[in-house]
Amino acid sequence: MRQILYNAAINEAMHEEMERDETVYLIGEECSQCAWGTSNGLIQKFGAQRIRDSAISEAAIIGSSVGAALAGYRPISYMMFADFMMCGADELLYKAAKWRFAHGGKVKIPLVIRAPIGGYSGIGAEHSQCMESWVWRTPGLKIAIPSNPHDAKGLLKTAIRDDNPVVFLEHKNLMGIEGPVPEETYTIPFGKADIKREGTDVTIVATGYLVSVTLQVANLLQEEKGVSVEVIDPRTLEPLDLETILASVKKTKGAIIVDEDTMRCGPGAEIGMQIMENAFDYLDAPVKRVAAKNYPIAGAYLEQFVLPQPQDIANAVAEVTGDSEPLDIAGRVTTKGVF
Amino acid sequence: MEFTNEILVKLYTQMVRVRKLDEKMIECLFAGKLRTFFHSGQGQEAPGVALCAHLNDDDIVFYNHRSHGLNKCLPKGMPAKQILAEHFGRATGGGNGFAGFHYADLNLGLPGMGGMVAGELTLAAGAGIACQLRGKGQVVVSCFGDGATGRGPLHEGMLMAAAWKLPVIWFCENNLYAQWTRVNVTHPKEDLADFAQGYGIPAAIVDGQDVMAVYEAVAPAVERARSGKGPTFLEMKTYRFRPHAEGFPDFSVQTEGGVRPPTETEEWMKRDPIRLFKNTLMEKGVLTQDDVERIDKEADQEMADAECFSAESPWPDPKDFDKALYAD
Repeated sequence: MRQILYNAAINEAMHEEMERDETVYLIGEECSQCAWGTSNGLIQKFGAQRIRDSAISEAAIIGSSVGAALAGYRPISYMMFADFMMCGADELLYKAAKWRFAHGGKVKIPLVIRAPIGGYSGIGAEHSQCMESWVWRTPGLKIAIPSNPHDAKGLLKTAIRDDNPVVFLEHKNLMGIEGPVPEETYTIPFGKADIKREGTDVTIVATGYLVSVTLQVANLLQEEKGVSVEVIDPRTLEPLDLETILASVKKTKGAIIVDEDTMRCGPGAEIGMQIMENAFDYLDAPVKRVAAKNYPIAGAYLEQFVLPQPQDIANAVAEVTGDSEPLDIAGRVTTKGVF
Repeated sequence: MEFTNEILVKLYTQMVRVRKLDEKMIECLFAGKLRTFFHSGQGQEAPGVALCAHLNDDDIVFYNHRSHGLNKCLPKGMPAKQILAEHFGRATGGGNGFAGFHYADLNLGLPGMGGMVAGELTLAAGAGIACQLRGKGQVVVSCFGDGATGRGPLHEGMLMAAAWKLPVIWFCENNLYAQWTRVNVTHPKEDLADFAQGYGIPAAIVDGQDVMAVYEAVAPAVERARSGKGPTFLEMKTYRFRPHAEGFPDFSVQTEGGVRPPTETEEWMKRDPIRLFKNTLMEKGVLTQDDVERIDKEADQEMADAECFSAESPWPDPKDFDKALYAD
């Protein structure tokens, strides 16, 4: 199968969906020349009416998308950094998320907010966040978080066709990562987790960029400790495929959630609690979270002491499996940012 | 501008309906029948009524908080009974009982309302994008009060509409008070239409108590939007006759006794838009005393029927939560 980059997969999804449906358009800051390389050929093919370079007005980028969706269009609202979404918090968390429910289901809001997430680039507190918990606690939004090019393309196409607001959390560190993507068109259903690695000793639910990091740690654990880790990528947090997660936990008897968002009230807290409520009797050890520490993300050198590191994953596995000597990663798995 | 008798009677009748529904809301609130609050818009009937008289069903109105949008939703075609039933919390309400005090009907060009002042203003710009792309001459009206001009969404939305010549009318009802705060306490200038200058948006200041003046001012704005020439800003100078919210005193910050100056209210109440227009129409011979009484009586009956309808309607079912949250 051909290999393409993550940002090229996002680009292909937009090309295909904009060709398929003339109500789809893209709006955002410099969206015709996206900083992450997702916009190749779009403005040449679709013109400035459908590829709309906006002012630095996040509230208007998101809010106008809600309004256009109410008026029958399918906007893709592009944030240069996911962090910027909070400048349009009312528009995102109140208007996009609540408006349908608050009008008894009488309207629909088909829009996608493409939000580049993630750290490990040393670029500080307001350019590095993963925004899962900001949006996940708000009923009415769907959340996709693709971990590779194949999932990015398939999930984005589904997001654009969905009749609800979807927050699409694409990771900056993955933009230049290559992976197999079929030539033929396809979509990936929401609410269907993917088992990225089968295993028998412990379940790790990982999201976004940390899926690939977790897989590398899992391979080392297998080789050097004989520990068999099952790695599950939920791919969408809302809807969440709890069934696949619980089936895995019931098999392995151990659960770790690896996520880049802040630990407090983060995805690990939510998924971990759902495991506790639904599979407590199967667990041999308490559920463990690997996540960012409860500080703003520090910049430059200090960042590594806030964001989760490969060694943290190995330590968590040791704790859950009762191994008193965690695997020493010794720099063999590293995190790599975009800058 | 030429006014046919038909349009004059329509404007008058709609204003009476808006006033009667507003009064019915207050009556039902104090009788313990509403399941929510109410913010009367008495005194501000003219702007919404004159505006909607220019609009088609597929033109889109983002209405605003004052009077819970009565002065736009009713003349835009939403039945009084749906508006009242929503406040009664019933399944037959214009928000299926989920909203409390707002409503949506896309077939009438009413996409709904939220709870944040100015929250709809960027949405209006976006509906303008959709209408521009669709190319069928639809108009979007973004309604707001003086209070909303303090928030960023107005300015982000106006910038976007101006830059892209979106078919959006910025329709400001300046009733001088944002809840309890007179506009001079928070704003450096008296005329909010001045904001439009910075965006190169043509603006007009209109006597909001004179329904014919509003009707005349809206016409070129609608024409401009329909023909793709871009946005217009209209500022109505108006006043609410009652307190911000029913059940509260007529509070006002930084004024004597912490209430609105009674002399100010008295002066404005001399310019009740319905009474002024009634006198004009009777002088012109467009309406007789009998006509006036008949229009009153019909509106009274409509609102009494709406109350019966609301009281007899079923409660909404929380089993419908999931399908209201996400579309299939």
